Amino acid sequence: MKKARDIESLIIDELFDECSSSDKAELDSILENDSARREEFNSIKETMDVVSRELKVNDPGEEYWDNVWDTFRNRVLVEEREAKPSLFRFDQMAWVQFWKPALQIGVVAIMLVLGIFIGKQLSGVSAPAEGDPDSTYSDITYPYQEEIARKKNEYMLGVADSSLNESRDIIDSFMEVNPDQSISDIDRFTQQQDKMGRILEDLTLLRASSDDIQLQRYSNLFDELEIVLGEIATLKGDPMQLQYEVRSLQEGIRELNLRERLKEVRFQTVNDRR
Amino acid sequence: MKHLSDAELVARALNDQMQAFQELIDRYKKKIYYTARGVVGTHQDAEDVLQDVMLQALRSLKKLRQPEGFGPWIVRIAFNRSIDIKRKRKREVLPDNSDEGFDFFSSIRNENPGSDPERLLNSSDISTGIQKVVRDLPDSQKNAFLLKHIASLSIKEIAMAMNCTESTVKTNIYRAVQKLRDELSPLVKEKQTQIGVLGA
Repeated sequence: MKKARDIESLIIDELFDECSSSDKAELDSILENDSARREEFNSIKETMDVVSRELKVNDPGEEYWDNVWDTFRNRVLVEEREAKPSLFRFDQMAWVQFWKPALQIGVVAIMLVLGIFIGKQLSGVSAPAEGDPDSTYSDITYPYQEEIARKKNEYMLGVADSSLNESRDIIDSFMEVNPDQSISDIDRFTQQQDKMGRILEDLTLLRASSDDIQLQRYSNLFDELEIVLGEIATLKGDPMQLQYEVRSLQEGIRELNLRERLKEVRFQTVNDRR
Repeated sequence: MKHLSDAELVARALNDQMQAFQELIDRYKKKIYYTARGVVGTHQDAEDVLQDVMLQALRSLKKLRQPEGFGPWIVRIAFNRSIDIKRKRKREVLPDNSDEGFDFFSSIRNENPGSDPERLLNSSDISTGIQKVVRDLPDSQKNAFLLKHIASLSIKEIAMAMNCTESTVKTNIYRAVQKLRDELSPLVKEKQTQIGVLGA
């Protein structure tokens, strides 16, 4: 026995001429043996005849159909003309699509740098003073010059010791980095490594000394080291790891900013005296 | 171009051959138009849908994963776009809640019944009856019925456009036809009697 839903399906197929010959034979058989279904089918068919007569949509005409494409083409042309200048549609350019991942990384990197910069500004760390670091305090007079100098030197050497050790660790890991670069860049990189090694040797020798002149040289050497590291960082196509190590090293060297430390010592000493 | 299959034309259109895309549009423009006409009603809106669908198809052609399925794909775009337009028109409905502007029948009121005196006699009441029944149908039944009757889409095409099974489409159409029969039968019999009296 066929389900009512299946019979309805056959009726719809038949009403709209989608019935296969086998389905039509099956429907005929059902209608022949089921008078209620037959009556239902006939009434529905009659209704659809009436609806078909009444519910019609006029065709827009050949002229309309002939102009469909031209209308479309004109619309596309108008939209292209009215579109924003290509400068503002850069995201649709082929080269932008190609470089999109690299550009995204670049944007993230810029945001990171900006974030670090802003963070530093907000943290209240002041930049080193311009010119002679001591000039700001040159008008301050205080007794016990020798004692202050000694304390200053002790402090500085303590800072130098810890920072030097820290820098050594960082530089050791930096030395292990194998930049997968062109030969000329590797040469430059090696030269910078050698130069840095010499600076570190000088620093180690200077560590034994504790007078102002030596400390000034110490400071100058660190400045030089920072410049060297800056040059290393600008090597074309530095791998991420190299960049990271250089940044870490620069951070460590900033910690060793002797001029700032000298000021701190003087303030501290003066305050102690008062 | 005319001897090429849809899939071949799609491939050529993707290679910036505008003629191939034009041929595809020529093949399906009437189906798109009548699909829209069945849903949105007015010629003006159906025309807008046709143009929108052509543009959308041109822009999205590269996303078509089965080029041989271009026909059902574009009909589905047409159906979805028509539903969007219909909703938009409903939101724009006049303050007095008039159906003008988005109702299917508002567009065909003056297109029929032609010059046949018998049809002129019958048409006013029966047309009003059909309008009332179809207008009150649930959207799923109304859309399935009108896509079948106005757009002459196959059951399979309607199912793909409406994203449902063929069985559901048939059930929806059957329910719509049943309601039409229930409402129209008395009217049709009455008119047949009147015509019989006039004829005698």
